[in-house]
Amino acid sequence: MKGKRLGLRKHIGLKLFKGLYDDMVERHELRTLFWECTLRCNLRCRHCGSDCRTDVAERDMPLADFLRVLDEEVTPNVDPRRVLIIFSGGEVLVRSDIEEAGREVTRRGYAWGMVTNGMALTRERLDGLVRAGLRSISVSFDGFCDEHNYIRQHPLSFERARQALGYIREVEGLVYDAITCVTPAMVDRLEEWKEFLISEGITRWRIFSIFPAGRAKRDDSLHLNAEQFRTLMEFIRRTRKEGRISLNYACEGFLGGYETEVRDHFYMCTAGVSVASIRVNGDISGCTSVRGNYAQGNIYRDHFWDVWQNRFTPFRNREWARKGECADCKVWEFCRGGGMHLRDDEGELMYCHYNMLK
Amino acid sequence: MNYRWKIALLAMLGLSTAACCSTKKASKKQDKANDNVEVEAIDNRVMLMYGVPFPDGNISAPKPELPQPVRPGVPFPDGRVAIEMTEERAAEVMEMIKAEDAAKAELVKEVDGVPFPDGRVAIVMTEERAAEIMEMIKAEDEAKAKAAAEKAEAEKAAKK
Repeated sequence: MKGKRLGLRKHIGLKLFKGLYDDMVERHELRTLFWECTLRCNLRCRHCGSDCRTDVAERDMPLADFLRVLDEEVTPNVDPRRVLIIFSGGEVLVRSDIEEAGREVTRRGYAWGMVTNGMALTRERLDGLVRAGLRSISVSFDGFCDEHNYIRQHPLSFERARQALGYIREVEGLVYDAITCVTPAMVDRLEEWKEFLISEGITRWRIFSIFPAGRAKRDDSLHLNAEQFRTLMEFIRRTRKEGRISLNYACEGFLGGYETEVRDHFYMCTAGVSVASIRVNGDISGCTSVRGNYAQGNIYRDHFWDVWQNRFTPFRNREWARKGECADCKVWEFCRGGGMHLRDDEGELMYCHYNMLK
Repeated sequence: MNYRWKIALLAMLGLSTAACCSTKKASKKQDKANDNVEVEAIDNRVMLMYGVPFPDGNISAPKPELPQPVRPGVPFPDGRVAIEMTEERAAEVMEMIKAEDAAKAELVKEVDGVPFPDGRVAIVMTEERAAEIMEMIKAEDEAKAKAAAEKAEAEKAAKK
């Protein structure tokens, strides 16, 4: 059953899963902690959700401030082996102390990973990161040379990303994936792009589409229409059946009949449930993609663990989001208003994936 | 409906992998008290918008197996069996602990670095080490370039 319509089997499955998700919310075990260590970036991508620039007013967070939170608030309350720390930006490689940060995090027993655009990832830098305990890395790779460079607004960005993935593939035991942000220009070339990735030896691939936030909000050329979105879903479903490359659609949005067919799991938003972030200004929030005004505290003012345990109500009880087009939606119980990052400053839904599936 | 029932029903619907990431079955031989079934929540497989894949293996490591009884002794409530402690056994254990500590101390001396979660040790990067590595890379690059040049010359000669 494709499109919006849920078959009986999935409907029952989702009902059961709803109970499991409720248990997860009640436990809210911290499993992923983002550290937004910088907002500086060596690119100026058209679709950037953070609106990052080369020079930003917000200075990088000192490593010592993050480690203090880790030592005083997080480590005493979690099993570090069960928590993944993700260094996030901006572009994390513009910081010269990422290796030191990695070593410190590793020394405390945590696994860590990072996302990069690949511009500054040389073989030497990667070796240093691996020695510092890097366990997982994702590289943004948005399409063929013209499409990628158009989005990234840099003539060398495609070649650098390709080269970075080449280095990464050679490191034994390092988990990685390529992330493609699919734009209208790439929809008709997805098969060709898949073949290219496979020929490059890439085994793990993640796709997402652009949501109207940050710089992308102002650029209509980046947004998929309903037909293109449906084409994308069909492509992912087909590719997963083929099994030649592991492909997942990212976590955003409930997808009706495509649930479990375009990603490994049922839809759920884990922001504030098992995912927390420490933003560059010290704000404590869910995912880094969630807008700034959903911050639940600040490490310079509050105790992180107290915030994680006792606040985060808007993330864990989404009843407040049952308004506008969600008010009477028949799949509310499975979707709960979509990902937190899809809510604007006033709490209104900016983009509904389910309604795109006409 | 409890957690395991939900998982079981999802499995019957062919949707267990969409709802949990690992289900470890208890051995039939083990009694109920020894049952160490573990169902991990799925949240470590959610591909976050700006996230990275969860590393395989070491994170969310399965619970260690419960020790099997090797000698008759007093059973714990959870099914493990306590071995009777004699003076000889205590001395043996102390020796084992000392030997382990000494081995660990040696390892730390040998590789001045930080341990990975899986027990490997990362060597601390010093300026000297970085310079050494750069030298190694340069030497490798030069050797490769030399080999490529020689190959090209040989091909040329063969053509002639």
